[in-house]
Amino acid sequence: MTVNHHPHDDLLLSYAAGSLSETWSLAVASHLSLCPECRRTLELAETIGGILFADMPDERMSLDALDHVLARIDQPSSEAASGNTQLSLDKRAIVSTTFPRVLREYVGHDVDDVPWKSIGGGAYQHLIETADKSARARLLRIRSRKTGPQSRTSRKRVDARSLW
Amino acid sequence: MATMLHSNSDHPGVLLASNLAVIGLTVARSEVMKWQVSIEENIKVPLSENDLLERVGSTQDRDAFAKLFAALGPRVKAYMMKIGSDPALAEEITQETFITVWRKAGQFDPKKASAVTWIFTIARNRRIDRLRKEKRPALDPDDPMLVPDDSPTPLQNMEQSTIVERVKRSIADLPEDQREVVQLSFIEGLSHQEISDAIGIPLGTVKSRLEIIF
Ligand SMILES: [Zn+2]
Repeated sequence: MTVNHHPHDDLLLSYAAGSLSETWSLAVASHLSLCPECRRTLELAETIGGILFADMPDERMSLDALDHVLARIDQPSSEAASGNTQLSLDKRAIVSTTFPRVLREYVGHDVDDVPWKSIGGGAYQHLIETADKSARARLLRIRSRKTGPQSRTSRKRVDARSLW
Repeated sequence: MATMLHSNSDHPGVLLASNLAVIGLTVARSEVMKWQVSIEENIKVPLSENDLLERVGSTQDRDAFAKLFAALGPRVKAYMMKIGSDPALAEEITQETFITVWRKAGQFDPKKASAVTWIFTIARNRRIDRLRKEKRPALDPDDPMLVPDDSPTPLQNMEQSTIVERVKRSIADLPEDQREVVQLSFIEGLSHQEISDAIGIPLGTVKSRLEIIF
């Protein structure tokens, strides 16, 4: 599957800096799964972030900070249990899907099980719930003109106000 | 630089100054006792952050971890404060960052990112987990649906250290105000509009300045 539209650098950059909203992050992360080109851009942005980070003047840590950390690394990981992964689906259980994993977790279904709603013209949509009020994510399913097993999934992607 | 010391004295011994380390020690016992110590000067070359992190990952080396924490903990705290945490919270997220570093160190691949960049991204993610109420969906590098990168560009074939050096140089070459723009976008993640609001540079100027580097 290839994608022809790419998020603007501005979005990738905000994603890399961790300041992108949930809805946009979902769209960008889904795109990144399918687009090695943008993944390279992301890696570069993270490298630049890391270099700027390395150049920052230090802030002194408290004297017992290391002791605290060492004490905590000996405790069994509570992160896994206490919702670091807040999504209910077990990531590892999803072995194969036609959606990128990050999107599949949000949608909760694979392509054919999504409760698609027709919006006419052979197109279907599904709204994706996020906590983010600033934007809304919509999954669109548009029938491809071509027939054949591949083209059925080739037009699906997250559409956040159809901006790319 | 390795130096060999020889002695013909009858007393085999090891000569060590505190700033020297023995890298190889051979004691030749013949009729006349001789000793030979191979020493290496410049023992002060510390392990790089990459080496330290790899040690943590491969052998759960606590000593390496402590060194890494000493080297980069204060930097992570500075980063947290830069993007708006008070000192107490910054300290807390820094500690959490390093707990994650400890747990994930085995996944560190120096070919893909430098240790500093890797820790920076962990710190960034810890901050998001901690401060944001909403989720922040992220790319899963282990996703079987990931479209593989089969057209590696020169950038990908380049050594990570070379990339870092190049980027460093181009950042260093920027005038002060442009460096500020770069910092605001890559560290604080401000949009072009927000940057021009914050430092009063018109949007177009910001964009063209950013394109110098990105
Ligand atoms: Zn792309």
